[in-house]
Amino acid sequence: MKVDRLFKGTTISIVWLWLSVFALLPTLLVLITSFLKNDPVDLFRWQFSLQNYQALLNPIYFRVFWHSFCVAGLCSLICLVLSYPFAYLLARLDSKYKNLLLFLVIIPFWTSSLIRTYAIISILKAKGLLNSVLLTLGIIHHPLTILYTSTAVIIGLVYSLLPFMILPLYANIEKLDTQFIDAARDLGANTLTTFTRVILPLTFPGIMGGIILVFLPAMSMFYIPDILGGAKSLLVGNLIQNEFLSANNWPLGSAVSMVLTLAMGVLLLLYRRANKIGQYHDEPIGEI
Amino acid sequence: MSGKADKNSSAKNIHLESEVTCVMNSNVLELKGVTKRFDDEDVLEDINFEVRHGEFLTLLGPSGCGKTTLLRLISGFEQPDAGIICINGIDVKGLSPQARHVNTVFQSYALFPHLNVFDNIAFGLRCKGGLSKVEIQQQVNDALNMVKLSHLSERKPYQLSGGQQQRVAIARAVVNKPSILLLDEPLSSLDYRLRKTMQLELKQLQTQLGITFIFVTHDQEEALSMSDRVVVMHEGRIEQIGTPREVYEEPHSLRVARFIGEVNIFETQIISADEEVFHAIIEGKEFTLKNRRHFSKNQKVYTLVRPEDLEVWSPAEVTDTSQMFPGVVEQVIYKGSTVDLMVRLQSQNLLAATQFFNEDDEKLDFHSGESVWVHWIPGWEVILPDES
Repeated sequence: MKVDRLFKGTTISIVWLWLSVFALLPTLLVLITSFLKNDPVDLFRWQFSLQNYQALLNPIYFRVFWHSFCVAGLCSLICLVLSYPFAYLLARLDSKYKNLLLFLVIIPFWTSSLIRTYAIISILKAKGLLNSVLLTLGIIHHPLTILYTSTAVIIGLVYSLLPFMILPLYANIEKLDTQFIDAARDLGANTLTTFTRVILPLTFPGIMGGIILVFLPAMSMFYIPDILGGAKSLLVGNLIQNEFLSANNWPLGSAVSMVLTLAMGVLLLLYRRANKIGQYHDEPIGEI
Repeated sequence: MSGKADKNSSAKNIHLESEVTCVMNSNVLELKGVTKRFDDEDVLEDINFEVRHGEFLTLLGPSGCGKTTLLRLISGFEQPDAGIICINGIDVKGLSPQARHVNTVFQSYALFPHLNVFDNIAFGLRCKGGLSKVEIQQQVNDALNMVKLSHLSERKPYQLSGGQQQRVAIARAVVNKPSILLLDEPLSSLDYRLRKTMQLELKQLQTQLGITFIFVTHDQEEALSMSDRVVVMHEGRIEQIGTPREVYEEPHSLRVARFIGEVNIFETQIISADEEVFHAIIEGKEFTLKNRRHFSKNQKVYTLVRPEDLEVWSPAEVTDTSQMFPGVVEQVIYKGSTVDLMVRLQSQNLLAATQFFNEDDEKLDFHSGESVWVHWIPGWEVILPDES
């Protein structure tokens, strides 16, 4: 009994220590920095200030945030639409093929995301693979300008983040008891009704999980807009990168990061709500 | 493989020749030559039976006998490989589950976890369309009243007890007023007492609604106490169809006898037989029994006697032992209204005998190790041929 409690205490302490050192402490440092004054020489001056957050009220920053929000939102939506049917089929497949296909989904992770993004250039550029195929097929007569546009950024983001949508969706759909689908059909629901009224609500936690894993990185993956968007498409991630590396304004960069963290917090809260909605009946009574 | 194809095409031919078709009659459901295979293995073979309007029919059999598959064929989740299924005189071949006027109470209820009790019950009505909000409200409330759950309509399924979930599942199905209600072992996850209560409630509900119930169970007691008729299944075939009394008292096979209730089985040698009677040796004693099944000499048969039909006597109580077997009491199990005795015969055959307390025989006082005589009233036995 005593040993058991000691073991419990130690384990929990280790987890707390780990989280404190690797998650809480860095976040706290960023939080503190965001409330300090900028200093071009020493990076920051030890003086409390709200000027960084005030600076963020500037419409320029707002526009970057809004633009990032739209890009990330569109990217999440495209990922969701592409992933859902795939994840659904994957979850319903024979386990033999299932594992193979899951493996194929994960394989791209073995190559650096940066290198894969450079590879996209060779596909999207004026004389790239995409244009030559379309020209050869006679679908277009002049090469399309995709590279260095927002479209290229979205293509890059969708490509990089697709597995992050597929995996949580797959995990959720696989858990979906087919009895609910049978029950819906038994009660007279057609395919569309079964999907919208039963399958979709029950896989909502998976959808939210996927969106969280896609939306936030999409806002902050600075190298994709850098490589594929040229200078035209600036995301929050680029903003942070610029403040830290080019403008040497760490406090402002920290403030931007904090706003992004806050956005993540809100999304996680939404995710928790979604999980409660999709809760199964084996959950204890009186939870809500 | 070619055999399979032949079978299929012959079934189709029969269908075309309209020898086997659906006709309008008083049967709500008819199955004719229904066969189902999974991976070339027959799960159901040549199933034929009819269900009358308002009947409570039970499919009884051990797990894996194909009864759930049979239910899924009726509900439309599976299609038969041969044979036809008629619901209300219409061949339902190719009709999807949503197009059939049949509803199911699933084994684990399959209540939608994201919907509350009201919305779960309203699901089928809303799918049907053409009903106003007020009508839906009215019908759902009626269904809730029927299962006595009006006060819980806002609850989510996970906030309900097992018995309450069961009631919601029933209400969700019957609110659609199906021609047939299919129940797939709906009571199996409830504890013993709740199961007893639900058995009574289900039976009452069925009488009250007049809906045909097809009830799947592996619990023979449940089957006997609730059904109008029982379909006893074994390894994808129907062993016997009959009223609970028929299948219990007149089993058609050793399997049915063994599966439904307890039974004592005696090996029986026929020494001579004519149209009326046959003489046989059972446990070394000679018996003269009625020859109802036209047994012939030297045929291997079994004599079956239910435990409650066996009488156990102390040696002091008996005079004529010519039709009695001597044995030793091995175990005495007191059950309140009855005493169950396990008696070992000289042949090492172990018999179960249930003795009732009644006025003219108050001293049912047996001890283990006691020598006794075992006997049954002639005519209460069932004699069946060897199946192997």
